[in-house]
This record gives sequence, structure tokens and C-alpha cells, in this order.
Amino acid sequence: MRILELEISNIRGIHNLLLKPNGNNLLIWGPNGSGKSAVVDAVDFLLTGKISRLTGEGTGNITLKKHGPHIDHKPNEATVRAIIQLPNYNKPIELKRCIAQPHILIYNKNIEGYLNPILNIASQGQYVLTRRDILRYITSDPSTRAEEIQELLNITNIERIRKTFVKVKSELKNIFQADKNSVEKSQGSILSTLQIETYDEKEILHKINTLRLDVGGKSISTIRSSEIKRDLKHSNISYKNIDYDSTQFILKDIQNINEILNKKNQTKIEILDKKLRSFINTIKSDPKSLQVLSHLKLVELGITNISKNGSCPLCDTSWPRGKLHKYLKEKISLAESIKKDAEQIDDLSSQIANYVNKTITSLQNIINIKRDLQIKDKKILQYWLKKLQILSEKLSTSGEKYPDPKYGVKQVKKMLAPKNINVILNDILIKEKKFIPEIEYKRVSWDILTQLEENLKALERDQNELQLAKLHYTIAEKMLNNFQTARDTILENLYDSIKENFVKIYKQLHGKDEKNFTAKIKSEGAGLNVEVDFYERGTFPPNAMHSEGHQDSMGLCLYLALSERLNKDLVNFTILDDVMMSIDSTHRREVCRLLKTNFSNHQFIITTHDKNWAYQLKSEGVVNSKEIIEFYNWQIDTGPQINYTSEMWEKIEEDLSKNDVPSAAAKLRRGSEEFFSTVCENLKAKTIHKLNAQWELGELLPAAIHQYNELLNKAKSTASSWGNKETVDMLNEVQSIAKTIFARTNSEQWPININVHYNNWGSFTKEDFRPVVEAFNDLFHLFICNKCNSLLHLSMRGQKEENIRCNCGYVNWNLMKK
Amino acid sequence: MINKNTLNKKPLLEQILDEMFNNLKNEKEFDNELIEQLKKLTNEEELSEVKILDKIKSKMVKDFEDTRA
Repeated sequence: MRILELEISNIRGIHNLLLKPNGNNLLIWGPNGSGKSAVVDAVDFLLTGKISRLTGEGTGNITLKKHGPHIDHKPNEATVRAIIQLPNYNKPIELKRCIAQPHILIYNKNIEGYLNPILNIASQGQYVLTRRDILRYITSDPSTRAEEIQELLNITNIERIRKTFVKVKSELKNIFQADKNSVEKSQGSILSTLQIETYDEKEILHKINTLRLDVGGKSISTIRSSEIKRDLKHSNISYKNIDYDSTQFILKDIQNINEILNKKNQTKIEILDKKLRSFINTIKSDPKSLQVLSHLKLVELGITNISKNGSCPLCDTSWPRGKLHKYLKEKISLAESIKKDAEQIDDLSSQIANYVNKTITSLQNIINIKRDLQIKDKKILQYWLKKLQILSEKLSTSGEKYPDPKYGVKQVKKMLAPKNINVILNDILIKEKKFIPEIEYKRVSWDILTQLEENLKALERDQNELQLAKLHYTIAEKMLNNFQTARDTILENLYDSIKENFVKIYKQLHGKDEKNFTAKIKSEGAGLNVEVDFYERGTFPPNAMHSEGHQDSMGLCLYLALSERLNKDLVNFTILDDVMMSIDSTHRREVCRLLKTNFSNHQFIITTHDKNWAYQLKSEGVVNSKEIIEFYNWQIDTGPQINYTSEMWEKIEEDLSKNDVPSAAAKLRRGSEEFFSTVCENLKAKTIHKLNAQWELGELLPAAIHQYNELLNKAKSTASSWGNKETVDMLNEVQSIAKTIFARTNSEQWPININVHYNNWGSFTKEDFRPVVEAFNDLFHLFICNKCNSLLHLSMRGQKEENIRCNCGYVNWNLMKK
Repeated sequence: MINKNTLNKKPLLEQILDEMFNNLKNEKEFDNELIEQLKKLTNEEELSEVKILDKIKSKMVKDFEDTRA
């Protein structure tokens, strides 16, 4: 798509403007605030229905309808109309959009099939490159850059889909995890029923088979709810109504005591006791600490009740204001650290007491319930009980009565587990077991199997759920993983091709000083890492080592490298909105060549506030004179005034036809000053240094002519040194023509004949002035290539003058002698 | 009319999804039916998380028992 014509009515700072680039490049230049960006906004609005600058961060209260139209106009008066040329459709097409109805693009619906794919691409707004964009591509952090570039590449939908897959996976993972917990819980129930510690299928099966044996069944080989009671009959088990509760209790109590008496628990108690003693010793070694601790509550209460004059609320003693508060605060602070130790003491005491009290309870039960306890054994147990009760009471005093000097660690250990107590308990156990009828074992085993059957049913149900959840989770996980792998492969290829293109383009601009420039563009996690070579000293982030100007170049190159992807040969036009701010004039020339040679099928609309860049674009032939528009003197009512620089020769002719020599003379002088300013720059002509860089034609033209002659002579001498007679002849001819033209301009006469000086052009007659115009027209062409229309320039190799050439190479005067 | 081929290549997302589904064909948890259903969903303008979840949850373990055997 190329823009042939653009008409802007009442948009932003523009009142009425008609531009006719005819599909060619267009340059709009003018100072800041002259309305250039309004042209960008207008194109943006036409193609997307919005103005990007009015959206996004920091534009909260700004709306298109309110702030899009020119300040004095209503939305229905604000329109953009364009005539565009589509690829593969030979007729121009008119597009129109009004801010009153921003979502409606008016066009001939018959061409929808041609237009829609192009509008789809154009609606992304990727055809505008601003300096802000450049900074986003180059200086932003990897994740922001990835977002920016993915948006530019229109691949944000990839991330959107990935996120959806992540959510799906996450949801199914939660279900899977919940089901896994349920299975573990069901396994826990089985462990509890069977009174075992770990879920070991071998052990469980052994337990089940033991239980089945109790009730007359045979062994089974799998743990399934359907197998648990296979071939077992409930009627096999008869109940006898006997009282065996007391026996059950005794057995349970002996089991409890045995558990506490086992080596593992005794060691644990011993460690706890040692720790407890250590804490108690620490506190007791400092009597003041205990006192502070015991007064803590009183102090805390006191500090809140200090009277207004600072005196003590308890004894009314007078204190200097604030002193009592400080004193009590210190006490509380000291008490706080002691309090922590005290809490440890309580905690440790309570843990030991817990074992002691459990033993006491079970021991009391045994002594009270056991029917035929021998007197001797009973006395031993009662003595033990008494000792334990003393220990329990001492432990409950928060360390006040513990440790008793009578009871060291060893004594306490003995108190908790006296010698021979196991023997007595085992005797009781054996005797009690005799009271339990055999049939009851069967009943217990049957009950356990019944319980186990239910447990297994729940486990099997949960395992089925888990298996399904695992399948679903695996599907989601594989879908996401495969998506990410495919994404990485395809995007890596994409980024590789962009990188190659980027390096190629960048080397065209900076190849002279960075001939081995390389770059890395790699996606890393959610980010996009860009690193560039710095004079073969390694790769660094673009903004780490390179100058601002190089960074601007990189941003432009990256954008151009991406643009092939973006435009797909359908939207082959780009707006470069004031993007060359930091690039120096030598590299700008390379940019011009790049745009002209690599993007010759591309239409660029370039805005700039930089006059030199504007002239460079013209002199390098990126835009020809008819495609340059100067905006100036912007007024709120009228918008910018337009100077069609381009049409200088035509305008001069118009003035002359009206016999308006002064106007024609002014135009020729101004245009010549602009032109020879660039010529001097290109040929490195010597002008008097001026801080304001404002040279007059009288300074520029002689300098340009002098340098031209110098270089021409050097070229001739070089050609002679190489024995290239043909070139010498050609250069002689050029020199002869040039001499005639220089003479016709009278410029050599300016210093000696006031009457022919350009200051007096305005007073010339039409007949006198016309030959001057014709001479200047020919003079301009001396410095321009007839073939590519670019301005001649001097190329340097280091400090040496290398050649005079144009962009296409048609003009190439060698300056390097043999 | 502009042929889709003139847009250089398939859109990247389409390429990625094609590659993904192609690889999923080799995964035992994915049968043709599921792949086709997921393809349809990813082709919809707004990819619905709920619809994908429903489709995945509709798959039973038995659907894949044969392939496992």
C-alpha cells in the first residue's frame, strides 16, 4: 500500500492540508510545534481509528473525540481522507474516516477482499517509528522489549494462548494435587486401622492375612476391598456376652506405659530434662532476673499509670519527668528476654510432665482395676505412683521447685522407669490376656477387616480419581510443553532471521568503523535479550557501550529488519517520525543510501525538525524536490503555513511570468543558500567558522566552487598517475563545462562588481534575471548526478581523500594517486 | 483477490499450533479425537480456558488403555 494523496481536515494542529506524495517518499520538516506530528496522527487515525499518542500510559483523561479534532472544531468536522494504491489492484482507492465515527472506515465495499488483509496489518499501527519506539526496542529491559517487539510482530496472541494453557495446566494440577492428598489420607486411614506406621504393601498384606487367619480365612495376594473378606463368612464368628472391658483397659494402659518406657521415649525425656535444667540454671544464677520476671506484670501496669508529673503511681515518689518511664521500660526490656527463657522452661516442663502424667493415669487405672494384683507388686506400683506424683508436682512450678537437689538427671530417669517395672507389667499382661476369650480375637479381627474393607473402598475410589486427574494433568502439561517448545523453535528461527537482517543493515550504516559487528537476539524466559558486539571486545546490551547516536541507528536498523516481517509487502510504507536526532551527518548519509537502495520499493514519510537532515535527504535523493514540504509559523486558527521548497524553480518561473523579480530573486537566494550549504558539507569545503552556522550565499558559493575545482584537479592528476587518459579527457570536459557555468553565474564578479552581486538581484529586470536563474539551474546540476539525482560527496579513507562520488556510483572520481 | 499465500508465510501462531499438534500425535495421552477438538478450540477467535478444560476432562482413562497395552 502506498499513499498517493492525503487530505487532513481539522485534526489536531492542522486546519486544512492536502498532500500529494503520489506514492513517493515525502519529507515534512519544520520546527517543533509546527504541526508535523499531526500528519502522523492523521495517518494513524485513518488506518486504525485511533490516535496512538492519545492512548496508553499517562493519557487517562484524554479522549479521541475531545482531543482528536482541531481545538475549534467538532468531531464531525474532523476527517482524514486518503487515496491509496494497493498492490495487485490497479486502481487507486479512496479511504475516509471521521472522528465522530472513528470505528467506521468509508471505502468502496467492492474492494474489501483486497483491502482487508492490508488493513489488518495496517491497523496494528506498526508503520510508524518514533524515537520513543527506538528507545523501547533498544534501552528497555528484556521483558518490556519482548512485549514491544512481540506486539510489533503481532505475536502477542502467542503469549495469550500460552497463558491460557498455563491456566489450564494449573487448574488440572490443583485437582491432581487434591486427589493425591485424598489418596494419602485414605492410606493414612488404613495405617490407623492396622496400627502401622508406614504404607508398606508387603506389611499391610501380611497384617491382612494374619487377620484373615484369625477368622478362619486363607491368605490373599492383593490388597483390594473386594478381596479383603473373600470366602469369609460373618456367621462363623459368634459373640459371647462377657465382660472383658476391664481387661481391655488394663491391656491398653500397659501398652501406654510400655510405650513411654521404651528406649526412644526415655532418651527423648532425658534430652528434654537436660535442656530444662540448663534454662533453669541460667535464670537461677541471676537472682535479679527472677525478681524482674515476678514483677513484670506490676511494672507493665505501672508504666501505664505514671502520673502526669512523672511520679510513681504506687508510692507517689516524685521522679524527674520521663525518668520513671525510662527506668520501667528498661526493666520490661530485661524482663522480656528473661520471659523467653521462662517460656522455654514452661514448654520443656510441660513436655516432660505430659509423659509423667500419662504414666500416672495408666498406673492408677492398673492399680484400681486389676483384680488379682499381688500385694508386693501393688506396693511397688504404688510407690512408683507416689514418686511420679511428686515429680509431676515439681514440674508444674515453672522451675521454682525443679530440679530438686535430691533428684539429678539419673534419679529422674529412675523415677520415670524404675528397674524391674517391666517384669511386673509383663506378668500382669500375660495374666490379663488369659481373660480374653479366643472368640474375641476373631471379633476384633473381623471388625478390623470390616473397617479395612471400607478404608480400601475409599482408597480405590480416590486412586481412580487420581489416575484420571493425572491423565488430565499430563495432557495439559504436554500440551503446554509442546506449545512452548514449538514456540521457542519457531520464534528462535524468526529472531535469527531478524538478527541477520539487523546486522546486515547496521553494517551498511556503520560497517566502516564496525566491520565485524555481530549481534545476539535470543528469547530468554519471558524476555527478549538483545546484545551487540562492541568493536570485537564482546557483546553487550545495546545501551551499555554504544553512543546514543549508535543506539538510534540500532533502533532504526532493528525496526527496518523487523519491517519485512511486519509489512509482508502489503503495507510498504513507513512513517519515520523525527527519529534521527542523535545520528551524525556521515551516518545519516549512509541511512539515506540504505533507504534509497534497500528500500527502493518502500514509501517513507519522514518528519524532522532538523533542517540539515532535511537537506541531506534531498541531496542524497531519498526525496526529490517536489516531495519536500516545510511547515512553519503554526497558528492556532490556520495551522502550519506550508512552503513547498520543492517547487523552487517552478515558483521562480511563476514569479517571473508575473514580472515579480524581487520574489523570484528571494527564492533563488534562499534555495541556493540551502543547496550550497549541503554542497559545502558534502565536499568538505572550507567556510569561515560561524557559531550560529548561518552562512550567506556569498560565503557558501565561492567555497563550494573553490573546493569543486580543487577536487577536480586532484582527480585529473590521479587519473594521470594511473595513466587513465580516458578519465583525464572526461574530467577536462567537465572542467570546461564547469568553468563556463561558473562564469555565467557571475559569482566570481560579486566581490568586484556591485551591480551583479546577488544582493542586487531584486532590482534586476526580468530579462537580466532570467539568465542568472538558468545559470544557477545549470550550476546546481554540476553538483548532482544525472543518473541517480543524488548530490556528489567526498569520501574519505581515514584522513585521506578517497573519491568524489554519487550514490549510484555513476560519478566516481578517484583521488588516490598511484 | 489477495491469496493467503501472498502473506509470505502462515501466521506464526498457526505455525506454532501446527507444530504442537503434530508433536502431540506421538503422545500416548492424545488420541485423534482430542487433537481435533483442541484444534477447533484453538482456531476460535477467543481461546476459552473453560472449553479446553471441559474437553480434557471429558477424556477417560479407558480411552487410552488400549494404546497403553
